[in-house]
Amino acid sequence: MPSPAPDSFADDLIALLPNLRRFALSLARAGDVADDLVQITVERALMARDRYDPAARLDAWCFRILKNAWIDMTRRTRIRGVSVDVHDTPEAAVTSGTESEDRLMVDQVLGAMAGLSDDHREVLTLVCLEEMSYAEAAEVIGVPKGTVMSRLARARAALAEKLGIG
Amino acid sequence: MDDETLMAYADGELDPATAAQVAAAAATDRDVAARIEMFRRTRAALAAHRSAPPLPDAMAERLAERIRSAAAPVVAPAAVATAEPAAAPSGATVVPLPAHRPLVWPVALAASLALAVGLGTGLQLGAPGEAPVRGAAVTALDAPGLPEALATLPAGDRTTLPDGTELAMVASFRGPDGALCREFETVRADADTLVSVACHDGSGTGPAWDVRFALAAAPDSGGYAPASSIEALEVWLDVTGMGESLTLEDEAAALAGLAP
Repeated sequence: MPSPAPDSFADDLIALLPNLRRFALSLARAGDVADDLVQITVERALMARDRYDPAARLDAWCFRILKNAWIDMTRRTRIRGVSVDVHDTPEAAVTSGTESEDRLMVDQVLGAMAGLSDDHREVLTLVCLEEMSYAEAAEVIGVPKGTVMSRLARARAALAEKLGIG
Repeated sequence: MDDETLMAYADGELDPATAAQVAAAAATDRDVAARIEMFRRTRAALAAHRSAPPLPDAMAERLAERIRSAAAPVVAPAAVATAEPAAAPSGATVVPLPAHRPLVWPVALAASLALAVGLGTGLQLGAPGEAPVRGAAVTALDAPGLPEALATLPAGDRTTLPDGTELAMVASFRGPDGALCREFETVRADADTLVSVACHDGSGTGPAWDVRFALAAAPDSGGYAPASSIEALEVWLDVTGMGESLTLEDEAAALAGLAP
């Protein structure tokens, strides 16, 4: 039996799970919806694995899958007339901090994030948390790079105001 | 200088020449320097959040196991490309589809699909000689009035069929073969909610609609399939090469095109 070629796809995908859920929360806010999104993304990533170009960033590729799944989900939700409550769910702001000071800072930032628009939260998550370039974020979101930049600049100005940063 | 440029400077996204201009401006203009600092600090504030573990342990373990098990089976492409189900390794089920990509369904997913798929001519599960998978879903197209509703009802509309079945039209797509396909849900008081996709057979022989996907889903309180149970459908739509859902205008044109 020839052994399969060394392949880190599975390990890399597993390592990405927290990032996927964080991005899902930035889109959906409700924790159970975000969990559904992560699961759908994992299934689709496994299915489409042969179409993944190893030279590309796996996180950007998976985020695109997740974003498309979110679009599908909101479309279906809209058509079915079932309301998914994505706005009044505090769960997105719940996290486990270790140090109390860190905890305070994280809570503040998450609280401020929760008050931003969906578009702003998404772009902030991709660029400032996931450390994507503007171009990579543009591809995930599906808008031109210039739109990412103007959106991101406004989002950070709004975040700075909420956090009391200069 | 506009905010985007100052932000790009703070993020290291500027070319060297422009970055030098911004640096020179920041050296002499306190407002410019303060603006850049604001962009730096917002990024740093979010970076501090990066270490927060957002994934519940139980879910992380379950998904990791799923990924490892799905990544394990290795199938020689040549064996699958023949679309010969007998060539499938044990434990995996090859689904011959009209799409270009032959594929192997992970076992867990195959199990959930086996609940209802296996009807219609577009999809066959299991090795030759095995009894086709049957379930409550097989009755889907038997409902009186359903073919007519499929040919006329726009997405987003609902109707009640003569036998009392509630029908909600969800969306329309073009299949990989160009066929008009319709996703719909049927709800009956005495049965599970069914999520189905039927495609129109334009050949004029046999039934006009061919159910290519059907999945029984435990309804939520509103009688509709919950989002999580749509997962299998999402994957199916993806791998079979179904197009994006049609706009209502395109759908109306496609439905008008069905009329004899």
